Amino acid sequence: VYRLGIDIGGTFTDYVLHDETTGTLAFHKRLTTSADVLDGLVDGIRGLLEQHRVDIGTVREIRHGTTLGSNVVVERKGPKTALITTQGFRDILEIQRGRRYNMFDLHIQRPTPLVPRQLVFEVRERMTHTGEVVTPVDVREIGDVTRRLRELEVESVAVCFLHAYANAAHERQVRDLLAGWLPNLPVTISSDLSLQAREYERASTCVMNAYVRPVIGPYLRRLGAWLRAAGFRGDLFVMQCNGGLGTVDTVAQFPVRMIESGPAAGAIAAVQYGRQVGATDVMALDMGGTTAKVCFIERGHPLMVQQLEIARMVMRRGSGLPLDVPAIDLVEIGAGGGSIARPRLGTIQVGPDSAGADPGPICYGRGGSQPTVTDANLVLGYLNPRYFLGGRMALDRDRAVEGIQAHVADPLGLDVTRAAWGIHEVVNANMVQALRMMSVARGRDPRLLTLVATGGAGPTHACRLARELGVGTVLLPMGAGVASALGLLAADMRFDLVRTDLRRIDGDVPIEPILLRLSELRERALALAGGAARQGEAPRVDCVVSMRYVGQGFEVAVPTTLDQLMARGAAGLVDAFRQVYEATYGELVDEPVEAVHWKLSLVWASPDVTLSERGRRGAAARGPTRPCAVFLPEANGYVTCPVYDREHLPPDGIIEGPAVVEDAESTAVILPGDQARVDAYGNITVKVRWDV
Amino acid sequence: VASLVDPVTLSVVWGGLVAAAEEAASTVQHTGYSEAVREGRDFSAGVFDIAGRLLAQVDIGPGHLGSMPFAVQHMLRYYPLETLAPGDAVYLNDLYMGSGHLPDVYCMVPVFFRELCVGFAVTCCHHVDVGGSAPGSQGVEGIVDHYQEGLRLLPVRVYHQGIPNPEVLRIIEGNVRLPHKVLGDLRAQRLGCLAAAHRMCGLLERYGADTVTACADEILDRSERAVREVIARIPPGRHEAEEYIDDCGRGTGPIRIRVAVEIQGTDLVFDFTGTDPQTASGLNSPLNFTRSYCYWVTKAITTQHVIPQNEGQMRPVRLVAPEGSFVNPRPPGGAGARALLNHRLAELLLHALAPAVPHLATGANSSFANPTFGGAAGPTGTPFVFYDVVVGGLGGFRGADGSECIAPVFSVELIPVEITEAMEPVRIERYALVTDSAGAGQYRGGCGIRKDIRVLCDGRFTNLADRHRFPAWGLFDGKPGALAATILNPDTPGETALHSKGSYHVKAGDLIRVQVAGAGGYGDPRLRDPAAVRRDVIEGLVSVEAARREYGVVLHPVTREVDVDGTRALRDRGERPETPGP
Repeated sequence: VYRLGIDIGGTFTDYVLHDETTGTLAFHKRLTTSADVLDGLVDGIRGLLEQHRVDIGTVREIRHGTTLGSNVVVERKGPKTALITTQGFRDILEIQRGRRYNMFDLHIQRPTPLVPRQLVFEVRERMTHTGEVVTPVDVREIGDVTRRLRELEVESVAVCFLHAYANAAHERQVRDLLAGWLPNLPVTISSDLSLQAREYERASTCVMNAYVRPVIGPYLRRLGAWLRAAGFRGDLFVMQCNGGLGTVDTVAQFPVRMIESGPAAGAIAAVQYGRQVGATDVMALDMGGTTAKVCFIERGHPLMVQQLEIARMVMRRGSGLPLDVPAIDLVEIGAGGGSIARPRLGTIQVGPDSAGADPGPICYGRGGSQPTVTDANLVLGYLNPRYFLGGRMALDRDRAVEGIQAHVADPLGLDVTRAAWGIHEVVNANMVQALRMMSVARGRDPRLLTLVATGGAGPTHACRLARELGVGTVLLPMGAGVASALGLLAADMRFDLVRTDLRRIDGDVPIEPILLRLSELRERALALAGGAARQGEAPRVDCVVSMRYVGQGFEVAVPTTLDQLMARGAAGLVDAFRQVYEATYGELVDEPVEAVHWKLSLVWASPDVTLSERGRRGAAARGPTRPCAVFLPEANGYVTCPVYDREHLPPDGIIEGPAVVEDAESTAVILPGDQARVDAYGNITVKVRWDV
Repeated sequence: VASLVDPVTLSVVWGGLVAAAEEAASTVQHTGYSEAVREGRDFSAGVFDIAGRLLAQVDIGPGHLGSMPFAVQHMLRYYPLETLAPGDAVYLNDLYMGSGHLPDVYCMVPVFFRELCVGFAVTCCHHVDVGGSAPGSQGVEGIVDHYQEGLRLLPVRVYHQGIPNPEVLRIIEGNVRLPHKVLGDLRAQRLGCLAAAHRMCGLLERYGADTVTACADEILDRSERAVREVIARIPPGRHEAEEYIDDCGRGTGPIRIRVAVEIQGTDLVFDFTGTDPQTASGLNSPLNFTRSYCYWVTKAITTQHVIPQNEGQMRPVRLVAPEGSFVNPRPPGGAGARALLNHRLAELLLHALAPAVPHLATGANSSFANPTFGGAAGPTGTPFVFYDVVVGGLGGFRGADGSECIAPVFSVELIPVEITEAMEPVRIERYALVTDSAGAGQYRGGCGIRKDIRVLCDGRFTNLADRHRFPAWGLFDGKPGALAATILNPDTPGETALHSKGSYHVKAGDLIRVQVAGAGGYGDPRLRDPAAVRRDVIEGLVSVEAARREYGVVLHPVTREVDVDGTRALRDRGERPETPGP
């Protein structure tokens, strides 16, 4: 039996096939088809299975990650979406939170809402914060709004009412009315996504869900239909922002939960790789064709945020559209292999736009005319024109040279090598800034961290970045080029649901009503998570209670379980809160305590995926295949250095830089003075001479 | 000169100091009690070296930029270094030593590493109430000196060796309207300082005191150089501007603020000579507050956010502010309401600098409103103070319209309606952009905002607003925005216009409409792209009539398509718009 992980990025689609019987992994990487993503996906699955002579009927699970959702938002390519909200609050999406994300920017702008003002409709209804009805829903007004929605040919609608987290009745009533009158119109209500107070954040979550739903739902349905037709009888799961997988039904209904799923899988892969080599404090860099993602892993766990932001205008919190979705804390920047280089004000600018897969970099010979980072890396000798994607795609070095000459070197009066180096250096500087935000800016010394470089382009740039940052150790893992797909296989199934339910907690509070509310929440989470898909397998239920002293506005997260609550009661919860509070802030006060949010996570653990030792094919050890000339600024020119095939590296072998290590999915560049050691899994650990 | 520290260590130490200040800020917000602190982020934090030099200040609370650098020195005059012990915390809210009004309380904690004091961690918070005549302690009317504005703390050691002094806390408890929130925020401030101190000690542990001190010198010198390098590129010159505040309460007249900004080599001199005398009200700008915005503007046109605030970046700035004037009042002048002036000072300074930095200049911003509603709610008469912030739009600038709902300088966040209603006896019934309020221009200003607040119990409403008389001016032929207004029970027989600084008794069920001004436009509105005018009309921000009247754009009344010929004819016929502004 097999499991298959597929991650679709903006430029490449990565595949990892896991043979559960032998423990071997097979990798595959190909361009993402931009016209219809599904066409390429289907070809890729078919090709990979044929190559390894695997019958699709023996594949038990397919796990999928995609950035389709965030692409739709960033590029504003979603359907015509409307918002229905409480009377008086038409501008709920415009007013936002007023956060001045840059205190000194005189020309600061707020993010443009996904729903324009003319598509926001108010209806008479009102709740209080305790969930009491002040004004019932004006049904006649809903009729009027329905007519307008039809006239305007709205394709998706969001409903967000004030205080719906306390009482969802009005939102549900409107959803049901709309379902009767406009049965084909997808309706998203805020209380299905977030049970938290703070209306702008909840509305933003609701609207984004409505906005991507008509794109994600049909995509997943078509994928499912094709797989079934091809003979697939297993389960299809989709990666979510929280680093866990969800069922297709859940994700199709609540696509915001998976809006940034590819990068999350990359982070899970970095955790796995780090664990393999015993590194627990890790900076993970995932540099693909379109963007680079940076994430920080502390003591073996990726940092999480309770709120995600999509489509940030600048690299600062508060400049994007917020989502009440628990997520892995990632910084994403427009620095990928396909990032386009151009002259600007006498300097080289790289990105944030990418040539993607289509037309792609000039050297792909698919019609691309603007030079990219990949073109520069080819000119600099870092990439092998005859071994890209394992030789399945020839790269045209001459055209890359011409393109860089014409578009960058000539306008800036540079020779083509200097221009190519300039492109490489500028994109590195952009990544260094993001990596610094994750480390130095948080007071963490990069010299004590391990940089785990994944993505097709990550290993090409990593050692240079490490030098800039002062990182001492770089891990260039086996399968780096398809790490996100590998992360999919390693991830657990997971569904999080958070409810705001403000309660005073002290030793005298009876625990039964709380347990009752939590089991209701668990039932609701199970229903929303499509528990039916994993019948017979009860999930682990993790519970995190957000608690604070009465009067405070922010909480600390107190982990517990239903069993613990039952055994130790409310007094136990207060003790747990005091422990966490003291550990976080250093001291306690003698004040009453309250619980605010209750988060349940249903977790279905996945089997471990570790690379078996020398697990891919048991290839024979072999020395360097051939020499090649790579540009090194240290030598101010091209230097001949050995090229190794990663498949054939001997375990415990030592490689002295400069050297190039190739595999079918990525190319690693090891710099002069650096020393690399190969482990039994084929992972390469580089000791970086950052002080040279 | 070769640096004494290697670049990696310098960047880690610098990053670590900034992170220490940020951690203090995050701790204050997460352990704070009042909405202003928790949701509004109306506070700031900084870390200092042993000499009292500000090494890093978080990018929030610009109103504290001018006082933060001196806070530690004031404390040291009362508590010399040798008298301070680990675990001490000194509080201060004197408006002249502190940030310019009593609600802002400083908390200063000496940082000890291996039994030696090595620096200071400081937080400053806007407290929801510190007593005095008006709930919220920000009244304007009826104030003749700061003794009416609340409890005033000269530097006072509230914690000694980690033990709180219950007598002092009891004095505070007895003099503020919401002791639970105030005492909670005071605790939060200290926790914030402790978090920063912990970070600083971590840096010292890892790198040693000598290295950290060497880094501090480098940080300040490099920061100063960065500011001077940008100033050096601005043409030398002296630029003047003046601005009027509506008044300081019922029956008073406009207040003129005048400034001349001189670019002298790599120095910036802000000269306020010619500004009106200080007022006998709660509205004055103590020197530390005036200074804050001189620093703010300097950063906004030089290093911006790229270098977090520190003492080095303030070295090129000088102030000339006549004593006894509105921008440098003498004690015991009151200043509870000085928050109203924050972006008015900033935009005045930027207005003066407009000829020197025209690409950065903008039309005037909406003035924000900061009303408070206080009293006793419910059957038990629980005291409350509802402190609100209503933010309008930003002025237009070369290349784009001004945004709405982002404060012009300060970084307070708007308190969500759902949080407000859960905490305070009010119901928000409307919160909306105001049609036809934006100042017209080739790039229009941001719209005004209207918030309808239904009060659910009797209480006292203290207004704090402006631009009820003087609109937000436009720049380079841009037009002014609509005026602000505060109206009690609008659209009813009892409708009453409230004064921008008045204090009123209101009854349960009353509705108060707080509407802030529209922001000023930039450039001649007749040059505005008709498609942009049409978009505004479709979005409901500009009416069809205003499109015609203000922009000379004719739209079809039903399809709202642009009538190209009609528009050309109207625009050709039009006279040049009058130059607006005071």
